Amino acid sequence: MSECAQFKRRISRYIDNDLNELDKRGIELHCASCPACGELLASYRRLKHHIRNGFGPAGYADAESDPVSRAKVKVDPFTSRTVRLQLAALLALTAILLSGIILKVAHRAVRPFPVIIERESCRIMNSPLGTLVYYQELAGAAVHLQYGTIEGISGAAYGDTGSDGSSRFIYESPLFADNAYVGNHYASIQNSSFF
Amino acid sequence: MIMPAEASSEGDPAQGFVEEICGYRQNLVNVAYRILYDIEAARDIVQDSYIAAIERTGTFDGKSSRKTWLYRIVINKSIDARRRSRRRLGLLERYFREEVSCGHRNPADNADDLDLIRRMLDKMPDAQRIPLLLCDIDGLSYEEIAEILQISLNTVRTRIFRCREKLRKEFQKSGSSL
Repeated sequence: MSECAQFKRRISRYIDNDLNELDKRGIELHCASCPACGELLASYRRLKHHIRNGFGPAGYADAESDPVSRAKVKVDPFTSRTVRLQLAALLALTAILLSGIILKVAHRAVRPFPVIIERESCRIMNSPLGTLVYYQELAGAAVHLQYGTIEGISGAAYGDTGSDGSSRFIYESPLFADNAYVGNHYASIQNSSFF
Repeated sequence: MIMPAEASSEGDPAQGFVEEICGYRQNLVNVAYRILYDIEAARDIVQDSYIAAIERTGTFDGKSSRKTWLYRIVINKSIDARRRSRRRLGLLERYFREEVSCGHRNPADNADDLDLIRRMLDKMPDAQRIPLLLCDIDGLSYEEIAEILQISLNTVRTRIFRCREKLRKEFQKSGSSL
């Protein structure tokens, strides 16, 4: 029995291939003649087999190829750091795009861009400083777009009809009150009877 | 004949080192997973270990192989991570969560036996469990395990034997037969 106790540890080493050829032969001979050690050897082998196949590459604990782990990732994709980062980047991009669109729409709603049919630059004699008028084409007609705040004058400050039939209306405009256009520009419109 | 990888390794030692350690990735993730039972955490640990290995390349003394050196880094980091995570999530809860999700079984094996082994292995101290898993699952030699865990060869033999013997006895007690 004490001899068998000594063999136990060697049997464990035997199945892990940690014995030299001589010791291996000794284990094989002993296990062949001793039913208890033979059974112990078989138990260790089965245990090793269970661990390797149950938790090893073909089974449960092979994390990279483990169907259980893969299934878990599929069930809860947000646990993946890569997926979380991609999702965060996508959300940030969407937020930026949406805010840009909202700002653009809001800007348009507040201040529609005027379509100036014609704009000329000249020094206008006897006119007040800063004169400008806009026209916008709307449904085929020329529509005066903006002269909301007129400083120093009310109504047309200067107006004439050109030889070509164009009507010119010149107003002081707050739109260009702070730049070099002040006093140097006016707009005209061809053959307009709107005003 | 020099393969491209060898050529680049010879040309650039740092590149060769990175290529070499990347070759062990799957094994390392598996080792970390068997300690942590969390695939995402295991991948993070391996990633951290690579960074640590690259940072410490200069301190690698060459007494052991790079493979065992990497295993050591991963195992140490995994054990630390598990210690931290145990504070957040009880091992029991983790165990039951795994039990519920563990639908895969090797049809050739008895599912109850695998559950029992798993439960028993969880109860084993790391000092005994990790050498056995490195031996039985990763197929590492006793010498490699000794290098990785920085323990003597005889200690490896003793721990593996004790762990195996405990598992066998637990099996007998439970009424199951191996």
